[in-house]
Amino acid sequence: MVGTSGWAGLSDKRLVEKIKQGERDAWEVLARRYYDEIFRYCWYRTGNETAAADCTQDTFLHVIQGLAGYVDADKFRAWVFRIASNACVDYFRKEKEVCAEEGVWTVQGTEDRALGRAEDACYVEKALLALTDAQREVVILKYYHGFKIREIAQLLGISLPAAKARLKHGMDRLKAAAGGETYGT
Amino acid sequence: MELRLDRVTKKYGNKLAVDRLSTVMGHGVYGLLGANGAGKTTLMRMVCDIQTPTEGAILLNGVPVRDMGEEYRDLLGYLPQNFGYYPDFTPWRFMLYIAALKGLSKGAAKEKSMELLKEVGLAEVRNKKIKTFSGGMKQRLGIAQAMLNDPEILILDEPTAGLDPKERVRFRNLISSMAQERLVLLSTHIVSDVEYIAKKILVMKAGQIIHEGSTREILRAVEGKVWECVVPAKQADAMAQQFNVGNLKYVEDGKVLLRVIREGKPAESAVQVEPVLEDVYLYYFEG
Amino acid sequence: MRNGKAVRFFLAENRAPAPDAGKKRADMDLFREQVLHLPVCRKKKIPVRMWETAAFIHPVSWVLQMLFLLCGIYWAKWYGGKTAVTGIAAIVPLFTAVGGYELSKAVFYQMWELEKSCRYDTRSVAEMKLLLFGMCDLAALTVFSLLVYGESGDFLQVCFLVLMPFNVSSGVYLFLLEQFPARNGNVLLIGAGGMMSAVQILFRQDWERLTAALETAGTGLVLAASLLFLAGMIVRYCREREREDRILWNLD
Repeated sequence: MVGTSGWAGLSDKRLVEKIKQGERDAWEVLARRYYDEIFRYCWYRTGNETAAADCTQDTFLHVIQGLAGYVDADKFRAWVFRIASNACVDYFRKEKEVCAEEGVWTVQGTEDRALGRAEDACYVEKALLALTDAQREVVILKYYHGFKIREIAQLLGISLPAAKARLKHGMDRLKAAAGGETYGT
Repeated sequence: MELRLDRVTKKYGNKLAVDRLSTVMGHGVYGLLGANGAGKTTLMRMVCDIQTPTEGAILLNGVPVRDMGEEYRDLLGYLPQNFGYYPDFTPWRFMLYIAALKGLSKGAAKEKSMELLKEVGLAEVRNKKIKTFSGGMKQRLGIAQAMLNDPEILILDEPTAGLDPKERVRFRNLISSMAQERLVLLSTHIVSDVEYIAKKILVMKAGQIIHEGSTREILRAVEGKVWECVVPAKQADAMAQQFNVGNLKYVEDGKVLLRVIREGKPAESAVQVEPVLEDVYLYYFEG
Repeated sequence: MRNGKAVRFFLAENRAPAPDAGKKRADMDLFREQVLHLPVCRKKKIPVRMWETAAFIHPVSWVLQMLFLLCGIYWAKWYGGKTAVTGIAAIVPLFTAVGGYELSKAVFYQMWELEKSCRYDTRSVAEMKLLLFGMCDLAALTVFSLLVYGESGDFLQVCFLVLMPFNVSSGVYLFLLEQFPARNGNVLLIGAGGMMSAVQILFRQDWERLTAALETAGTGLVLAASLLFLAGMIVRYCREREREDRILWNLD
């Protein structure tokens, strides 16, 4: 790679421009910027590492495919998360099909999750699982990835009131789950 | 990928430089063999969309290249027979200049220029003025600039002119490796340039392709017409005047080994030999 | 916000693991390969093209332009009056010649064939150079006009000694470059420039008599005609960049 060390400070928009103009090394910087975060997002959504890894790979392959036509590079991060969200949805759809075929129905791999986790963490996971997928998605984006509710609404393609509603309901359920534990005040 | 030349014709007033030429090319190396005035350069210029055919059309995957405009030039790499340079240019500046014209961004231009200059062995002298260069060095620079935009179609007009034998071999290897995923059309007098690497040879005379095919197919045209004989020097002189002589080698006892291209035996002692591409060239262009 | 904090602490207990390093490495390799197949966007915006064109113009050209401009200013300030106006009138055709020289280079130095096979071909290069030098010339033109007006107080002098000669000389250079592409641009331009400069000086000596008949309307017409002439030469020059026959004197 030729002199990419100076690129770490470049904005997403600038890096996308460079990639489109043929400076392929700029891609490396961009991918490394988001890989871990997208992996974590997929893990929160799907609940297991294998699925998270597959969804992450899927996400970035779709990002590459879409780069040529991508124009609004100011909102690159949101765009990547949207693709990741779709990748997870695809995963769930496939899982449902597989489960339905095999006549086995698990609640999105709770068994996998339960193995080898700290008790508290396990408890939180269960609490998260108690939410609907729609609510869980909004909570993950807000509390694990720092998106504002307005950005989440745009990202998911839903109205702002709908996003707020999902968040509120999700929060209420989590509060109930967290009740009795002293987490801050 | 298919580049189709459909009855391509180029007239300059009454002179016919290219005469209803039709052929189809895809990935691989295509050698264009012909003497000066055969129309090779004109043909190549038309393929590069530098000149327009008077009649006929050139189509890339079914689309006339004339209609494609700059999108077509994006796919091209061209090395003209004679090219110049602005007086103050160094190879580095030259490469960056051409890269800019080919639409590369500054960063991509620098990256690619360095890579290509290294590949052709000019990286060390990239800041020396081009006017100090030998012909061979200039030619190497020309080959480098043709590759800047990673072209799908590479047109090289007499690319080995001025290169020494070692450079010519290096060039041949370079072309061979590049031709996997591209169309390389190269014109040459030097038969060995294309003999082993060309997928197809196009023999061009007076604006037309008079023979086309793989090296083996082309050689069939002169099968049974290539002879070798050892004769005294004086007789060799006479024969050289009379016949189409390819090679002349002095052997011991003041005798000469002649290679002659002829329908019938040129001398009693002559033996038939396996033809090589050089013989084909002489058969068509000296006979 | 209290509740938000509480949820945040609660959720923080559930930390996602880091991705597997080996898988990440493999993925990065895969992505790198995929990215190589992305089509490269080669379109450039005009300001970028102009900047790039400017970067490859010989510094001497910029220096010469600056020199002529400074000469004009110096002449006006030092001599003043009629001498100043004559001096500026003589400089105008020389100033515009510099751009012409840059335009002639592609053919004279045999770069045209290479340039023509590129995305931004000879026509595009010519257009950018015309735009670039056009802007510089316009700036200088403004300065010269102000100087002449300052010394003479007469707008007619500005028209006949600065504006119209600018249009005519530029048009003449373009015409010559197009008509004689193989000739040394320097010789052509210096020759033509020298002649027009001389004409300007002569014109200036006798200009009252020569322009006595023309009033505002007449002046306007002359100016418009010269502008049309220049515009025509520009269009012709650009269009001719695409015709190959003019410059192909060595047929295969």
